[in-house]
Amino acid sequence: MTTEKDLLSINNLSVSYNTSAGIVSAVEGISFSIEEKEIFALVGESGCGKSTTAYALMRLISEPGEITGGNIIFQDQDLLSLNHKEMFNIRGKKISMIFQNPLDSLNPVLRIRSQVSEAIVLDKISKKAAWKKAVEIIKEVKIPDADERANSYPFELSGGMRQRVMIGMMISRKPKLLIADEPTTALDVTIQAQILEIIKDLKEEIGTSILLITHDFGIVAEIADRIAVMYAGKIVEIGDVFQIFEKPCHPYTQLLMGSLPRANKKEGRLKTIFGSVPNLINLPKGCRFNERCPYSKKKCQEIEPKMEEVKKGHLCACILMRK
Amino acid sequence: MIKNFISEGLKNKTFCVGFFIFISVLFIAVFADIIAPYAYDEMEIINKLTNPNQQHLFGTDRYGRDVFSRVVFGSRIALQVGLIVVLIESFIGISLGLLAGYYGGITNRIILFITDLTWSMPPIILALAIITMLGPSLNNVVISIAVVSWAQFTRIVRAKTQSLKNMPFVEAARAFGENDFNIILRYILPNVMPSIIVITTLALPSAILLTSSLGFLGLGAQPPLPDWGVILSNGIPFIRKAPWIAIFPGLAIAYTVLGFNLIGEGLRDILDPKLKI
Repeated sequence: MTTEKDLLSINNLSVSYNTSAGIVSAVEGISFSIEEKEIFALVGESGCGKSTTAYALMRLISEPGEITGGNIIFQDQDLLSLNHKEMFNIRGKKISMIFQNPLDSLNPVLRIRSQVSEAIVLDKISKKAAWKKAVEIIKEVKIPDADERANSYPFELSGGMRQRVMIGMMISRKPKLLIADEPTTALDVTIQAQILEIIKDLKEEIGTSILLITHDFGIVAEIADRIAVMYAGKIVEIGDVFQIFEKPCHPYTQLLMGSLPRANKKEGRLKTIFGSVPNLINLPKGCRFNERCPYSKKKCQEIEPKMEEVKKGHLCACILMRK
Repeated sequence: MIKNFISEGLKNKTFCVGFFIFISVLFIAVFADIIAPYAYDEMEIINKLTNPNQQHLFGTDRYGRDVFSRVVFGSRIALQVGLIVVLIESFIGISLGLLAGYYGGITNRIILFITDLTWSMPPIILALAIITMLGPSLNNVVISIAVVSWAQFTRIVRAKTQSLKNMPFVEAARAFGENDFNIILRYILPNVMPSIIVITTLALPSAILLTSSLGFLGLGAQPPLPDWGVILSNGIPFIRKAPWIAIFPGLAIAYTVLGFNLIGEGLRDILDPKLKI
């Protein structure tokens, strides 16, 4: 799967949490790769391991979590083999991350300006220069009244502005890869559109690749190049946007698409997927989706499906699709 | 922010009263030379044990020393010792608390063990033991009190740090490549500051009380230094004949300690938004 253009490739990555109730394997043996200048979306419902994957990429998994296997190759370097200090040079400089909750992602006791310059100073430029540049960055992410806003405290800004400041900070060091962990979850639709616009520009202007984590197919359709669908810690389908939207192959993907609200159809109630995500401590045998799958056959409970190619670049893990 | 703080402070009566008391004690300590009519060790044997009168506002003790002047000079010792002790113990306590809370694991266990150990002993007894080891003097009082009471800082700072280190903004700081030292200093410490300020204002009166207690027991400041505890213990043998010798330093201790406690209480209300409804 690895080609020369790949910026990042993850092979067989597993993460598990050691809890008192047992070992939770939040992510199990996932593999995917992100090319340069690509927006790669990781989609799935809550608790399926999307964020855990992102944290693992940054090596920010904290106790009791643990990366139990696999490797993460970023620019020909295995991130999992780096030590604590070497990781500091990767984080922020080469890989940055935007978090789910913009409301709490800024230090409440620092003014926006000192916060942003804090991030730039890490690039070994003088404090004065950073101080000046901070305002430019705030302007870049299209915050009105940048000069005045720079001297505000985070609680004086709206959620959207805070998220933009956050993005500004994270892109100020021109990372090669930006992980956006549900960047628009807490924001309303208009702000959402603006944030997505900024992310898109980022890809075009700086050439950053983006790993977009979301559960919103609407966003995916709008900006992603390729998609991976995750279910209960595994990737069930990977493909480019057109392949997946036109011909979803895995039943889970099909059901997810089916449960989207559509403007052009009168359907009455929204469709839902029966049941909920299985307990990650006690996973069902065979295919992890078999309990909820409408097409489930007996062999689904016995064989664990592997990723297989449907078309070039379109992989899917379902034994039923072979026919 | 600061404007806000001042207006909040003015609204809070507890804080105002405490602050007034603190300022008055500070004023007396700073201008002790001017306020006190006599030197603290000036003896007039002829006038020993006189009642409070115009020459001697608080009367005199058995060597004919003016109790008023001694109490006034005593405020210097109380404030100095109190402030130095609090500086030392907060430095130790805060650093250990931050380390334990941030790193967790074995660091946390070791620090917590030491903290619990010092916490489990009554402070005055531990201080007594340390003083007997080092010998009675004001410097050793400072050391012993700092050693017994840093644990209160550690406990609270540790608990706050633990809850802060998982806040999204700390995670975000890590994600853009801040190192641990910067995270602790710029992201965690300022957010723990409100609690630290409150503990400090509450640690100060207890330090003053401990100093006086040790002085009273003869293990702190040595006579003729006018430590409030020392004056009080000098007055005890004459408590029937000349009660003013013991009463006035006692009142001074109570007044000062009350002031700091009120400030602490008021600050807690002002700085903790959760208490506001």
